Amino acid sequence: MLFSSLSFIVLFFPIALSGYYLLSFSTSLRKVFMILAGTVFYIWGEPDYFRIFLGLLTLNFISGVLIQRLRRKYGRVALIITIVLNVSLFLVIRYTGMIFDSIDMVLYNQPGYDTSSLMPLGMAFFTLRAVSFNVDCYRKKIAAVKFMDTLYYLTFFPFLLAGPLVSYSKLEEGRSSLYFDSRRFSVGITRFIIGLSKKILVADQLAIVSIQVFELTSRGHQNVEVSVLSAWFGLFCYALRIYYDISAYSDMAIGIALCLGYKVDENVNYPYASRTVTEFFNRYQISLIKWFKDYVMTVMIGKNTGNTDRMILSCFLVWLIIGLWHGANWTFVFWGLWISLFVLLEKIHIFEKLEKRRYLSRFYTLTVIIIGWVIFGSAELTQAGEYFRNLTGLNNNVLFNDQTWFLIREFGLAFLIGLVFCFPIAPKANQWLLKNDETLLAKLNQFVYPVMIWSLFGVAILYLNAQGALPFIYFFR
Amino acid sequence: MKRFFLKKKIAALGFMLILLAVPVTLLLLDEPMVMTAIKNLKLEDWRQVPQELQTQWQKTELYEGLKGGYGRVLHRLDKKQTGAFNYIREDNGFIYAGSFLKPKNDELLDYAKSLRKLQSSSAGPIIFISPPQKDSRVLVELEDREMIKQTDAIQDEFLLYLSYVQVDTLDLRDRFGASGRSYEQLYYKTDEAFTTLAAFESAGAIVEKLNRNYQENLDPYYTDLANYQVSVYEDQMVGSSGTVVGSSYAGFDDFTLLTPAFETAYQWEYVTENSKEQRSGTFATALINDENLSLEKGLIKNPMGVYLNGMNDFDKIINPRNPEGLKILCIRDEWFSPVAAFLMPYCSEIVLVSSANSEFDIAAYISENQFDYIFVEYIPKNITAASFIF
Repeated sequence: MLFSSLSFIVLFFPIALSGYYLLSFSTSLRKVFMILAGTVFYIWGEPDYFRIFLGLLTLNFISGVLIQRLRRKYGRVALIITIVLNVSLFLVIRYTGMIFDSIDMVLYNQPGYDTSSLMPLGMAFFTLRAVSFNVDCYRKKIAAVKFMDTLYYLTFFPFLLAGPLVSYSKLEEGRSSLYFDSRRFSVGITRFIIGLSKKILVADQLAIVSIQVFELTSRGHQNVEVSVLSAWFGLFCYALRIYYDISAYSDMAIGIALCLGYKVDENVNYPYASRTVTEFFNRYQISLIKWFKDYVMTVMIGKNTGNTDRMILSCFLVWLIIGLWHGANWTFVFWGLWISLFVLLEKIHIFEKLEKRRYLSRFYTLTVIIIGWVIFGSAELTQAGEYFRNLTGLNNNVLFNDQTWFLIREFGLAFLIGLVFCFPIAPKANQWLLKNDETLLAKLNQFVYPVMIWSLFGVAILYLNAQGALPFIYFFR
Repeated sequence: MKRFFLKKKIAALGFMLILLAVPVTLLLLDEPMVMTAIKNLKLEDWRQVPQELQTQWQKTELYEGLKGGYGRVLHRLDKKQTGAFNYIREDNGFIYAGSFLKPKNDELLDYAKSLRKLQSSSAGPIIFISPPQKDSRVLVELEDREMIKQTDAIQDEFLLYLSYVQVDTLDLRDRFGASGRSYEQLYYKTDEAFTTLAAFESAGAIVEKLNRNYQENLDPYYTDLANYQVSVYEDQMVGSSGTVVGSSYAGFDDFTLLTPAFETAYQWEYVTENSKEQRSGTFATALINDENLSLEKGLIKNPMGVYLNGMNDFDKIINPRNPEGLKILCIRDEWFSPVAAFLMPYCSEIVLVSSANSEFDIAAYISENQFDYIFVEYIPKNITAASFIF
């Protein structure tokens, strides 16, 4: 089920909230209710994978118990077996198609069969959560694995399908009392509405442009001319879309969690304001990058923290894995390599001086990231090449045409709004209002803010009802 | 800090009230629909529950109301496209199919050759009837040329190939241009179909062609609008494009119903996917589908379905008052239904088939039955491989 769907907003969400708070007299009943809610949330969109979902839940509960109860040596074996089972299932389903496809391309110069539809929704995030749960059991970060608690954590619907990746202990830490907390609830609701508006009114609108431009590019310049400006506009729309998609999803997920009394860490923090590529990825998909650092990089480097060669190799491999985790396509491999190159260069201190030069460092970061998005957003490497040629006019394409003006005319407003709010203007304004809460503007804000939130919600619902919502860009299989 | 939370609490309260208002409004406006939805929900078929809920939701007045609101927002923002460029609204108020790609079909010559081949099994000549779509630049000047699907090129190319393989053609763009009727009379704003008047003009063009090229001497009385009753349903129609984008964005159309003022008697049998039906009576009682015209069910949404149901798998219409009339087979799309209805006074029998009906062997049927003429009618959009399986 999508957060940005009417069935979630008007049916599932009110029922889940009501049930959660009506059962506040009994922790056990509430847990059962939330496990059921999480299961319905999952199978609403993926009824065919119900059994796989239940199988994975059972596997991870049993492994969690075994890892904790067995002696350390055998516990490690149990952990390795569990990780291998979780990861290999993910690998087999996701990458079999890519491997056969590549072999067929080499041998017969034609693609093989597509297995992407075999991948259960949310499997990529579920696998990471399951691995971190078992590792945390092994590292004794989880006190004692209980059946209900394990299922509660793994089926917690706000984070079930696309993150943020919150560890078992962090989720426990973030919980307030069992009872209704009006402050968290109201902040959660407004956060959810802002996320919904970001998704429907900005991300999905910009997605229309970027999908169109990437699609036209894929047909080749011999068949369709994409002007230089259209290519740039499409690329900037893609860059903003990808940010707003993940930011909106995080807002909604964190907002729902707040409504249920859970406060968790932020997942996105205005990455386009970063001065280095490393900083960008510390502010974008924070929980995902942190997961790879905590559970992959740490294991690879081990105790040899001073070994530069090992650090470089680990960094390179981690980015390769991050790239591949995003999808079974060579474009993601190249994207991972592209990013790892700059992360490594930044690690070996070449960029220290650059970082001090505000505008130049931002320009450098945006250039690297934006070029990376061309590779990330293309269906094939040849398409990425075609896109680069369109951007630079190497396809003998015109600077602009009717198509460019039409795209800008129709989506210029969404683009401008997206561009302005992808920098930390809103939190700065909020802070100013908090500091100056006796000013007329702050008093006026008391009335304007709720009206603005309701209006955003109203317009988002009108759009959602009429044209639906696109799946989240990270909602991949 | 208190104020910080106060504004959030007010906003959250409003949100909760809106959520509460949804079921109340649904019960007030759509109680029967809600009850039907609840009755239709079968838990044993739980996989279908999301789709079933979606289907029922789209039938509610609240859904339509929200869609109207969406249309008003689009108007306010002066949006010229909606549905991810699928629909482009021009300054003249017409909705067009949008596309950034120029239509291209490398198989047009093959289709033309297949018609030539079909001609060898027919006693009568084959005539390809080619109506223009509403985006035809011959009929209308459009501002956003690149973004609106352009079908003239396909039509031109296919007619050229037919002329090369010596299959006769009738390009209705010529007739429409010379008819003196305005573009607004020929096409709907909210539907891709042409109007009843355009269909009537098409029937007139066919009669003219048969008289001119095949010396038929058909009486122009039946293609004179003066001999028809004209009923106009003002602002009572929203076509398929209008239904998708919402009437508050697309607006409304007039629907014109033409019925003969002279005496008629027809027998019509037709086969659909599920049944075989028969109807007989006058033009109005036999060939008009009242259900698609009924305003009790709301606006007219399927203008093509008013005459001869629009599209069936097989239709046979007999005119007992003119047993010596023409016997015609038409391989066609939906657009030919009203045209066929207006041609009936000249015919003893018209058979309508679709080559998309794979179980029907058209070539064998033509060999078995002696038709005076074989008409093949497809709008440019439907000139595809599926339409030329003979």
